[in-house]
Amino acid sequence: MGGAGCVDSLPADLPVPDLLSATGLYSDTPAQILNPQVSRFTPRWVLWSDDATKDRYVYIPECSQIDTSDMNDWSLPVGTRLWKSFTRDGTLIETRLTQRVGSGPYDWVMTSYVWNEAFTDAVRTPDGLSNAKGTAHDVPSEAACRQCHGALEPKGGGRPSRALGFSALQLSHAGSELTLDDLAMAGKLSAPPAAPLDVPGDATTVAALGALHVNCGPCHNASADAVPQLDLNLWLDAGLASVEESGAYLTAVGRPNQVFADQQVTGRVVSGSPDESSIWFRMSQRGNNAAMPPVGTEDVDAAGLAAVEAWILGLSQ
Amino acid sequence: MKRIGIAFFLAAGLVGACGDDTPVDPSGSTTGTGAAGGASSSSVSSTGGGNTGAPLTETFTVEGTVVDEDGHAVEGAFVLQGGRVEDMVLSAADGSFSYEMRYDGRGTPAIVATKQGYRSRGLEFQSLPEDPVVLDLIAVKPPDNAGAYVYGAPGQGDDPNTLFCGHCHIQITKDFRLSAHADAARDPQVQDVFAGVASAIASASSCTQAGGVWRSGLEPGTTNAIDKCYLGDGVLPDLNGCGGPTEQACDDPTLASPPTAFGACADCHAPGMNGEVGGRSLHEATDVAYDAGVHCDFCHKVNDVDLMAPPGVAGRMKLQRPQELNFMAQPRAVMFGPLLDVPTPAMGGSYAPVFNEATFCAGCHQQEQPALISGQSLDAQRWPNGLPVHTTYEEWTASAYGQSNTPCQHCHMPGNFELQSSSDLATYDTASITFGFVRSPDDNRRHLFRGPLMGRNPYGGETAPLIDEAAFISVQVSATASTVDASVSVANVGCGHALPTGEPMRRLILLVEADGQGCGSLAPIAGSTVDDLGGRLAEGTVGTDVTVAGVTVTWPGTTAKAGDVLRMVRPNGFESYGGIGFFANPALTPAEKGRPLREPLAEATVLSVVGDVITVDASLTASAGDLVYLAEARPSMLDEQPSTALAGLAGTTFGRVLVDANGRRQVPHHRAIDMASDNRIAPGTAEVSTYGFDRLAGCTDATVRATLIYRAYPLTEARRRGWDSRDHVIATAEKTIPLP
Repeated sequence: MGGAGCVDSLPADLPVPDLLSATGLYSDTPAQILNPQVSRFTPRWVLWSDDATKDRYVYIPECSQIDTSDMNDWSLPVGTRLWKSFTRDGTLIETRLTQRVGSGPYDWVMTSYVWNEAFTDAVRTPDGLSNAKGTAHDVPSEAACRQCHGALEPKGGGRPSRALGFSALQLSHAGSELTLDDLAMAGKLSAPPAAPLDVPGDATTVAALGALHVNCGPCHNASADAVPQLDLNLWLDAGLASVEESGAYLTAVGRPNQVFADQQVTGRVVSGSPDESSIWFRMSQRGNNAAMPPVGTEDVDAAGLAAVEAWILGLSQ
Repeated sequence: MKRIGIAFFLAAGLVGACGDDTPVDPSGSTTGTGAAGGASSSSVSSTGGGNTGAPLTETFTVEGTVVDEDGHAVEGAFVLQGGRVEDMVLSAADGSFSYEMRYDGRGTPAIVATKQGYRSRGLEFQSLPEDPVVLDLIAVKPPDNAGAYVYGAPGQGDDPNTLFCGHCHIQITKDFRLSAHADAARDPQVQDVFAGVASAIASASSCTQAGGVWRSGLEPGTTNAIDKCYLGDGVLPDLNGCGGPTEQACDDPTLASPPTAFGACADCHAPGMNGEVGGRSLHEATDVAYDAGVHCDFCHKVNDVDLMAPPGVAGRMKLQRPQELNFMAQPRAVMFGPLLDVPTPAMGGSYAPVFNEATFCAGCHQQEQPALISGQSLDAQRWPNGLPVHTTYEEWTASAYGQSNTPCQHCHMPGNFELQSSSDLATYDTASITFGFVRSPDDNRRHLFRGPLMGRNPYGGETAPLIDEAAFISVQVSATASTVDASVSVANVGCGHALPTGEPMRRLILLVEADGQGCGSLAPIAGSTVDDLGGRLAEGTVGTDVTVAGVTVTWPGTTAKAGDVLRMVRPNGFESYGGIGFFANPALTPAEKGRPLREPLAEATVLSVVGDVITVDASLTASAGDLVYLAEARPSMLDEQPSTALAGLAGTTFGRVLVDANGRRQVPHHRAIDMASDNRIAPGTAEVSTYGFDRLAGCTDATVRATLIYRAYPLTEARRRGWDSRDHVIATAEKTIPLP
């Protein structure tokens, strides 16, 4: 890929700039005109962020490929940059940057830029900002980024990729922006998939497993990055032959839970009964220690909750 | 190249300070030669590698042998590249190994060998090695050098002197200084209970007024005598029978027959004292042992934990202070720790896997004790293994956290997301034997030892206390024609041990209140009430020591004053709960579980007190056997406010109630011979309590509110000794229902 003499348009080891305009996202930041080497993408399932509208962008170094030898665990090349802009209540608030700056497992920079009042540029805000720009949106601190994007090295199965939404399964759709097929055709995948990456199950099941994957899977998975005290895996892998092979089926359906007994909640997923299922119950909570996810949201994800509810209702009792 | 050159220059410059073999100080200054040449050794005698002069390549193979200091092959040593703990090999029977190194142009790659019982050894490469290398491991030889070893001090962080841990481990040292471990010996509450003192009372007159005795005793942390207020229980007077009101204090340095029983306090609160360990007085702690408590050089001299031995340094924490000498005829440095690849001779890093386990914490956070006061004994059938006064480890082992081996360190020593190594100097560019290697946050943990009230980042930002992540409260409400009924569940959703845990004086207090639109506050008429764990100024029994007649209450010897509150409750059987340890036995009856159910009767405010006669603002009706709490009005604000007497309010408490030989509850654990109850909430479980409120006419709805409070000390103990006891609100919940 690239060959001798190939030069990436954005350097890999640039110190993290103080302004978004220096990160290479836009060729004209005030006008928000994208750098031609940057692509928009939208994952198949979108993380719930309290009604924020999100726009996502990626730069993959021209001279490199994504190591896709493990289709469930891509290794993005050094120099990869991903941006995500958050608009809340019609106001553009922040643009987050995740950048791989070296080959080491911790060679990732994660930060956020809060847009100025004139929307001509955005300023790095390492300590985060609560209720930014008069909205209920919270900009995370740089340290907080790693709570979701993983911090562990690959030993024991920790995920080397910190980009949660830029994965084979998440890009395997027919959208108009950058997709898995686009990447394969552009020769950016070291081992392109031989066949489409389908998720088994009917539409209701896929919607629910997708919602659990994107909202819960980053912490509840089978890797070393997971919440270790729980044998709960809601991460969805590509290549499953049946829904019964999914982590959600194997570790949640029919598994007991007694902590919320006073709420008549008796299991993680009680087939046919969302009300008795702790996963549904915790997704329905906010503002207390039962709420899931515990960070990044203050409002219930009504669509995600409905998807999970429909799936549980459809499970045979 | 330029960047590497600068890194090497810095490294070479600092090797003179930190890289060579060292005296005993934990980060001691050293002399000697630094790294140089193609294969540079920061060790004493590791050799080989040659010097091809050829630049390092992306991968290269290092072959060699691991031997001991006598040159004998060491089989089964871990061999790895520094920083690559996921890729290691074991040395063969003849000590040989072959290892593929990686180099990405940053830092100085080093091969490291290590094995339990030895100091790790490393060898750096500036160019491709030509010959096989020899890595010699120097054994850490028993016995513990109690006779000659002198502990080093941690410093404060950012210390200019290399003698202090904080010179290289800046953040770790600053973290440690914020922790309860650093305060373990000098904590005023600990010292007060040890000596039977109220150190917050600073004058003879106020001491006398408080009922204490003002006299001479030891100034903690020194050998000086000062005047102190002797008041309340104390380990020294209780265990030694000394320090009577007309006698010299037990800790008066001029006392002819000093105490000999110390209650094992120092074994955990001041374990880092020079000299022999076990059974010493807390008052022997001076210098670093007093100033820094459970300090760096102590913890990292523990090479194993024997759970069968008595807690602390009385046997459980196996100390090995070095006695073998280095070339300067000083004890050769050794620091036991959780990492395989700390070959810096200045540290003498020695792999001790127990540092990665909850077992390490069980060194002190699991304690069963005999009756400590002379002539007293435990009920051997009830407490065959001793009275379990600290059971955090046992609570953890029974939980999902224990069963998944998620150790204490996971929450209480969170991963470091800010630094790339435990040394503040190490980055990918500077990674080396001297500076350390880049590590996962899993291998690079904050040394905050977060207690219940410490945030994830106490320096700012994420300051929410750990205990705020622990509990989930939910409220269910229903109504009858005459009552509003509620059940409140408190679930332990965030702890890997009971809630609360640790020091048995800690407790949770749940307050449950109700009001209605159009009718105001609803009086509690049924269900649970807060018991003495919620704090009361006095407690009496109607028909025994209290007489109630309308607005007049006769209470001989009362200390009530205007503005105080009397709350009356009626015993009605016993509560049922899940329980911890002995009290988790499902075969126990509610009575055997020891928590009487006391239902609310009435509350009235004291208007005046004349002698033994109290006049209150509401007419009271009582029956013989009802309890009366002298308490205080419920403050409108609770969070971080001074603790008050809340007994008798609708609600409940969660705690472990230790009892002394006189039947007194909530005693410091040195006095305890029994436990009345333990209804703390086990991990992953919930406790539900129920309540009834008077449904007043005119209510169009009813709201029930629950507030969960953490309190560190019994109110009586805190008030008596002048401790700054504040209540921390963990969580609140409420629910409103319409009342048609």
